[in-house]
Amino acid sequence: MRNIFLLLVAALGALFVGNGTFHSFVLQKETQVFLWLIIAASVIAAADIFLRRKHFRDLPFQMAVFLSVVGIIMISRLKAALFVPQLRWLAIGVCVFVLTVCFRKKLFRMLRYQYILGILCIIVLMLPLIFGTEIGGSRNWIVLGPIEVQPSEFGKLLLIFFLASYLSEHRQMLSLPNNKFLMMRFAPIRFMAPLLAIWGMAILMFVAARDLGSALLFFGIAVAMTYMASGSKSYTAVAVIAFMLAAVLSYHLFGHVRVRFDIWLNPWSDPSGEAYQIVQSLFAIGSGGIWGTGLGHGQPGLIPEVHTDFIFSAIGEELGLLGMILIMTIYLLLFWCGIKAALRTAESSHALLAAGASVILLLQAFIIIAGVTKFLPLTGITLPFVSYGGSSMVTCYLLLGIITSIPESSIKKRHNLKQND
Amino acid sequence: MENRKLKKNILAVAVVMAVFFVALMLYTSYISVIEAGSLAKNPLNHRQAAYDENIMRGSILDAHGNVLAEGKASARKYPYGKVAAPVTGYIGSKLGASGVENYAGGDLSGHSPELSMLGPISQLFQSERGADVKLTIDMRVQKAIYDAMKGRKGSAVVLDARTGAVIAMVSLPSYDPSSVEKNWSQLSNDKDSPLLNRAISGLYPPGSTIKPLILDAALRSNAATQNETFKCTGALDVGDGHSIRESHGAVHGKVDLRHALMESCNVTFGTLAMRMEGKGLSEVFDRFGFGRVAEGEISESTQRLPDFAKLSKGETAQIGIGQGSLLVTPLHMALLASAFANDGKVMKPYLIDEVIFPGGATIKKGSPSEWYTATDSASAALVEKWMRDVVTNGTGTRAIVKGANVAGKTGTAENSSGEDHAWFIGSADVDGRRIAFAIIVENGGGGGRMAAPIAKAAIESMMH
Amino acid sequence: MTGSIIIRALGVVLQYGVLLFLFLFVAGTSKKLFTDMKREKKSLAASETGIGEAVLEVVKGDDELLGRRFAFTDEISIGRGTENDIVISDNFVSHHHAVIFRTGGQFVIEDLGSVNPTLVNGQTVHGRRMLKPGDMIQVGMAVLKFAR
Repeated sequence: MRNIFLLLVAALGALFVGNGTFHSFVLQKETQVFLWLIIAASVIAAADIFLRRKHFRDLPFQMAVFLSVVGIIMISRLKAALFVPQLRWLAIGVCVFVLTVCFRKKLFRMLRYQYILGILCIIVLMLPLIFGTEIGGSRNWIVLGPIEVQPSEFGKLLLIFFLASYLSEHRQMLSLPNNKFLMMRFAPIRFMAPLLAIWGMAILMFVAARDLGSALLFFGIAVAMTYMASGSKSYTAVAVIAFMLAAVLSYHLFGHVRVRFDIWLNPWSDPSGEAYQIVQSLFAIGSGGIWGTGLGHGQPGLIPEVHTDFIFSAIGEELGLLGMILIMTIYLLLFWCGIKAALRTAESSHALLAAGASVILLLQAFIIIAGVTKFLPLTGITLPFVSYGGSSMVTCYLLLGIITSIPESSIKKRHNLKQND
Repeated sequence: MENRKLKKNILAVAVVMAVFFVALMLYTSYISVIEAGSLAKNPLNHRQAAYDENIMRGSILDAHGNVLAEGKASARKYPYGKVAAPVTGYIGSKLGASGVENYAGGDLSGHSPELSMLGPISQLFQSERGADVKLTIDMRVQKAIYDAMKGRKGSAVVLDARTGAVIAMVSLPSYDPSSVEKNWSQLSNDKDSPLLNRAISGLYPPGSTIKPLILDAALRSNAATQNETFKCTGALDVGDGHSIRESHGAVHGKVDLRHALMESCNVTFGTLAMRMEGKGLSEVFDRFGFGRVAEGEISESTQRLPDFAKLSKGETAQIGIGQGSLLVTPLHMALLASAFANDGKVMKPYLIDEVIFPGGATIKKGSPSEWYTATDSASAALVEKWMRDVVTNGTGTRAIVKGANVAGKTGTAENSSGEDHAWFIGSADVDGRRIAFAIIVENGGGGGRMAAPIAKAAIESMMH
Repeated sequence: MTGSIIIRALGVVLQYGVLLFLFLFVAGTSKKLFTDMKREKKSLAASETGIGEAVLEVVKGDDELLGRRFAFTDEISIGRGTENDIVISDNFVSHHHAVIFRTGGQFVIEDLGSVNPTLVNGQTVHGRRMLKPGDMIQVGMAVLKFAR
């Protein structure tokens, strides 16, 4: 925690001294800035004390706060006007996290209502297709008066709850090979149907909502969790083949998919047109090199959407390869903590829930980082805990709350308590 | 423990995902380390231009401190305009930059991608004004040649044979660098290609100026001896009913090698080339660096060489008199001349003498370095001596400058674009330096008549 | 002039500070995680032995099976199909008849929709049923005794 605090101080100091837009912003709205800095800091400190008192592991929380602080720093540098809103979202996110941990028992009780979860999940995902507004080329927003919500963010949560509950219930069935088809073995169709429905949804989103990032994420989670529960390579194979078919089909049917893919293969054929974003992103990372230009001394403003989808490129430019690798390491460690929680717990549904939440966080980071570095075709999606945005922040802290509050099996718990005393 | 299979599967998925993530980390490192340089320098990367806008760009100076370019990038002034354009190049916010403006852009703007990649510490080295770049160019020479060639098309390169420093690099027609952005479409469509730096990118048949190289090769490979005499009947039968003729129907009669060079006897040099055959020629062109290109601050075009292994007898003889499929840059012909003037050694040509920080400190210094050895010093001395005879008694008498010890070789190269190209290459002792030069006047006719006087003007401009 | 240089130098120091604290946090977190893992491994090794094993003993059945004991920790499947852990070749046994698996420290038997019922202590299993040591499980003609 001390290092996070020092990081924030050093970064804001560097930005203030750098005499850029942040400098003038702070001078203009002095009281607001300090007020929200203090609020966010106290909420974080209170949450940390709460975790220690109740004997929860606080390492994942610290890592998340670390990532959020990096996000706050980058946003104050990129769009100073969003500094206060992002601090507010961080405070809200941490509150949601504490609430999740407090009401964990009620939350886990939801796992009993698998079909309601499933139906809810589908409804939430369908919402933007019916009432959605297109923002930034993706039809995945709902505008409710002054608030813009991305239902897919909350759909993720419902999805892992549904999958955890459904898969743990039918685990035995799914892992028993009954029906043979093309050398592969499958469970009876009635057990498969809900899974197929979810996979179908992911592909539908891919096609209809133009939200390629979320589609990839949903699909990845569904496949990963199904494999965890069943251990069957057949399902994974079928899912991957289906996804590829869908991808090939949409490449030929839909212009936007084709454009994305062609840009990925050869961004230099149209660097100032369709491929502008990815090319600018690569320039930013390339200009940073190993050490980076120093916070506040790069030109990340040349990249469009730099405070949301492309925040990682800005990190690459100003904090260099060093910053990027350190931040990616934190994602890995956070993922590992979540997986450890899954391995420690006794209930299979809890294990699947924790594993699913961990997979979401890492997979999301993977998809967007791979996108902005041209490792994979670019898809618009936020960098967990770091990017600007309320929906994303709240969901990520909720996922973190789930990981933190997964109960440990009795033997180990006893052991840990002993150590804490 | 409980649910062991489930845990095993979870662990398996976790490991797979972690491996993917680590692969992404490695890929990111690859971008940041290996690809970073080219990404940062990509002309479409507007970061450099963004820095340029806020900075007082350094000046480009010649060897005596004359200003060739000064002022902010957006309002850059070029006092010598067209004369120095092939050297300075231009800078424009939409066009990017060329020439020294491009190559030394980082120094001139005080901000190089390499510097900012050092990390935040680089900010301490960042000043309000970029560094000045001092060139090896001597504007007296540059201007003298430009004036002497005015109205013609062509190019000239003058080198310091002992160091490789470029003293002049002229190309005509030229353009005004300060208005290049405004006149871009007109300049880029002009059929005379004013934007082309002929000194390093123009490819021409060398004509008779290649003969010193053939002479050196013949002597060293024992295809002929110093005192051997040849009989020139005005034409050389090369088989298949073809023959090589002397220009203007001259007949040289009985000539030794020295006189063959002085009178530029095609029959003799065609014979020498045929004696050495493709293999011998291939070796000598390689030795004299025709397979190499100058890079960096002077980025030369690749020379066009024939496929030596497949040459017919007639084609071999053509190479001996610098015709056929052989095409070279004026820079490379100056390097050829410098080899004989510098004991057979060719120095790497360079243009940037010093990079000077606003405070006056020199941070980079151009230093002479040997590039390749073209021939041995005895051979070089002999060819050089006979090339002096060319100037004193042969075809190059119009280049005589008293006390400058001028050596040279004329060339009159047949080409497809009309009248012959006039060539003159050679060396001189002037101003305490040993200079080597190559001059070409496109469609200028005879080399001795058109190109040699330009060499004379250049040499005289260097005298006090 | 000197003032601006000092401010610039301060800026540079703070920018390196950002990188330094990024690094310190990651290093500290990795260290904590690593020591945590080591500690856990130790305590696991100390507490794992002999816990969580269950045994099925065949007390009635054909000669091939009679008297055999099947020990398991996680789950075990019973049926006529050869891919089952316990294979009972008996016409009254379904291909996939039943499974016993552990959930939350308890062992549970689940009938997989077999044609002929699975009985525990003579009672038909509908869906799932908790097992306690000493329970007699009848599958087809065979009877297995559950023990821990």
